[in-house]
Amino acid sequence: MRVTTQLAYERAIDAMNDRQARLVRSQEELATGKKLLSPSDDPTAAADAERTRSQLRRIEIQQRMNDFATNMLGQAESTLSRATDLMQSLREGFVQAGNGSLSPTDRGLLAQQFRSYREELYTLANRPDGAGGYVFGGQGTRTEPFSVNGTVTYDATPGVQQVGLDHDTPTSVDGRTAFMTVPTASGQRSVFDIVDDALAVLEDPNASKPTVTAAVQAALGGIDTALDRVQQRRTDIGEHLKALEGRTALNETSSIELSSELSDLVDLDFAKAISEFSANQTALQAAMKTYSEISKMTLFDYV
Amino acid sequence: MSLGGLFGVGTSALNAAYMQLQTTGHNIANVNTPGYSRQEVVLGSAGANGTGAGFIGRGVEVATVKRRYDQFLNAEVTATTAAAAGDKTRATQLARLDDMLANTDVGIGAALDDLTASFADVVNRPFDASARNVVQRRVETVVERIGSVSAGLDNMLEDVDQRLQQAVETTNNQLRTLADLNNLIAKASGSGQTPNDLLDRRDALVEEISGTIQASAFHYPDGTVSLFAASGQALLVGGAVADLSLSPSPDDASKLRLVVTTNGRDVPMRTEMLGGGTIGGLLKFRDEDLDAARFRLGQLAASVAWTYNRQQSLGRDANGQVGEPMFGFAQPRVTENSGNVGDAEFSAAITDGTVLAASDYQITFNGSAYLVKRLSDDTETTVSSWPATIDGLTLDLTSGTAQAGDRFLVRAASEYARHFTTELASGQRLATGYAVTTTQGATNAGDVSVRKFAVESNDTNLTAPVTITFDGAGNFSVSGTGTGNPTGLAYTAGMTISYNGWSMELRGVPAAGDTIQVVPTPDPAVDNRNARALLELADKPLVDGYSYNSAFSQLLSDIGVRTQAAQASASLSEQVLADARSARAEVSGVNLDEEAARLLQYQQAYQAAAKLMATAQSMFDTVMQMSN
Repeated sequence: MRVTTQLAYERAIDAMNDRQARLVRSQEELATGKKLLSPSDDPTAAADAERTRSQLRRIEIQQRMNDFATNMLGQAESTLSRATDLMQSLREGFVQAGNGSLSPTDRGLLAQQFRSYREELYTLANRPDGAGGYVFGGQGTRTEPFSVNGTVTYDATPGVQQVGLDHDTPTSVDGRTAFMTVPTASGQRSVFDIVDDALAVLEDPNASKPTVTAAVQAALGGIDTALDRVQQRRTDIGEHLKALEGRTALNETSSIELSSELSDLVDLDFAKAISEFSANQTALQAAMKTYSEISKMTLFDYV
Repeated sequence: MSLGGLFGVGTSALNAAYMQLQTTGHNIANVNTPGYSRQEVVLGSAGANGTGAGFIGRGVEVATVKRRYDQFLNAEVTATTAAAAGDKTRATQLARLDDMLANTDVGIGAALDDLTASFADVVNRPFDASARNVVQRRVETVVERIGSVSAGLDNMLEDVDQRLQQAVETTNNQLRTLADLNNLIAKASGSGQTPNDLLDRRDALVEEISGTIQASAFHYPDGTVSLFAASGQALLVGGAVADLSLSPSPDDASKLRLVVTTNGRDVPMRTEMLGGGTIGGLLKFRDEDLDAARFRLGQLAASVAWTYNRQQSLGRDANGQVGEPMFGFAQPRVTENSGNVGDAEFSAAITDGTVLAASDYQITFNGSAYLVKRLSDDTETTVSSWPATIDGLTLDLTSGTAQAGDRFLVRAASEYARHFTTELASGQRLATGYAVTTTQGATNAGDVSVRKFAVESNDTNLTAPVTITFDGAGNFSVSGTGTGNPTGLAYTAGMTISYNGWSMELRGVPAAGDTIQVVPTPDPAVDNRNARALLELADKPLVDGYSYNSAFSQLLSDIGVRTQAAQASASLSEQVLADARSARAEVSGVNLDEEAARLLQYQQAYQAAAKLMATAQSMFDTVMQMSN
């Protein structure tokens, strides 16, 4: 083979360019910490990475709603717990008031205490959820869900508001089923009406003993049913909170798995990259060295 | 015997050695000249004079100076130059496209995910103004990202046009220079000797032209050549020089095509007729790669816009109004071929944005039927009556009559990502709620409830109050405007019932007298049900069977695969070209060491010839002294 001068130089330059390009690539990978710098580096991995990144984002979205629901349901639970306490206090008080030995004055004093419980219960029913809505906001409302127009009415749309991507998780409590529709002998009544009726009798100094006893009995029956209703809501909420906890844990696990998957797809194996960098560096040095050696050799030196 | 003979032999040797030294010098001088072929002096014996004692030589004669050259190796270099230039051009352009999509952290996919994420906060708190405003800004980001990729594709298209223009101008000049060189060579060859340096320049020029538009040379005995394009189209024959130009394609005026004009006749060149060369590479990139990217981007943009706009229209915004579109985008349009004879005009409209194909379409009329061809895969559909719906696109003949051979281009996916705009004016305009909702009767004794409620169309009776009443014996009746008030319908848990544009899935066991009411939503601003539907869109197969993100991933991997393949072809054809060049250089190239050796060799010959002359001189002097 005849080697020609121009070609020899071109080849040497090509070789150096090639080595240099690889070195720059290694350097870029090391600088960014990524092996996938553009889709053409590995089209399948690029598409997989994009999907994985999106799945990670989806988990974040789910978790955002989970966290919100956990917060809302936690508040609902503590509100209902306080409501239970109040209703139980009222119940115990009514039992005491039903005791025939009390004078009308004592009954009146007790009734005053009951009225403060009843007021607190009403305040609880209109408790804001801290995020612009109300714990008993039903399907959603911007104004207090309960109001007094002679008697207490529920103004929000009955039902619940729900969040979630794959699951329906409530973030509010249906105020109607919680407080309003307590079945009694005289049809459905609100827990407030039941308490108010009893209080009216207890506060009446002229009420006869049998009237008081009947009123207390009716109130006790109503409160027991109302307590059942509230308890049902609390059980529901407990179940939802438990499910949320499970899903949160699952999200954490999936998130770790997906992150590691994403890292495998795009992130650089530093040990490997550094050794490649050194190899490319050595190769470039060798190409430079041989180039300068070869270019030194010419017959013209001896002519 | 005369001394003149000896002088003659010496002179011829001196002359020959001098010419050899000069040629060696020429070789050394041109060691780095592209296309230069090593030259060498061809010597022959000058013959002999016959004498009684035999033939006495007359010295040496320079026959010619020839170039070391192999026509076939040269043709191989010319051909591989075209292939390498075409492949390299395409790979370079694709690499730019690839780079444009490289940073996926700020890509279209990430922007779409961010938009989805912003719905989560609105689902949590539908009446939170700041959460609503974040959605509006994320919509703007999606628009910006799609717009920037779309603009990037447009810039690349413009760049391709400019490069084509430049290539055409350069080639036209080169063809004229080639014609001039042909004339010079023909004249110079008249002397009987080959004009080596002119031939080298000519061959180098052919090679250069072939790098732009694949060409092969036909050699004539007088040293001149004719030049033909890959398709056989003449670029230079005799004195006729072709003129290359670019003109709008009759099918699609937005695209330039190459036209070769020879002797006043225009021949449009299709991409596949061009073979390699920069022009072929540019056209291939434009028609295959850039179009594919444009199609996929358009498909994704249209599906995103259409599906979000539709869901938005099914909801009610913070003011209780029907949700206005979130995105705006260019609608499909139909352009007619400039050579059409008939006066038919077509319209195109998207009727189902979830099944759009990543393609444009061509309508042709063959005299009796219409053929609609999907350009991405050449699938043809015969249409006998209009309107016709293909891939979610409804095409209609709006006026006129087509004549056989008439063609129309339906600019569909290539169009959608253009004029991509944010239409959602503010967060308040986001339709988070439904116009209607359900409530259970206050006195319901059973546990029948609504599991899934959705609004599916804006029926005129959508908000009409409807009551569903159960008889507790497995049947129910429906009453309300638009329902037809049916009675005695059988109830099964899990069944779906739909009226007036809404649908609901029922579950549980109803007791006698239990009711479910459908009522207008009192305050859609605090309702999050349509926001949930908007949130769920990202999980649905709304881009011709794929989710938004999958569709975008496919765009990424498609461009990645194309770039990778183009780079592989480019590196392969570059290697083939390097091999061809090396094979040619083996014959034609200059080796300085070799020339140095020759320099010594010819120098010695020159010195010997000079010695011969000196010897003759001294002999002449001796004879002169004898005569004194």
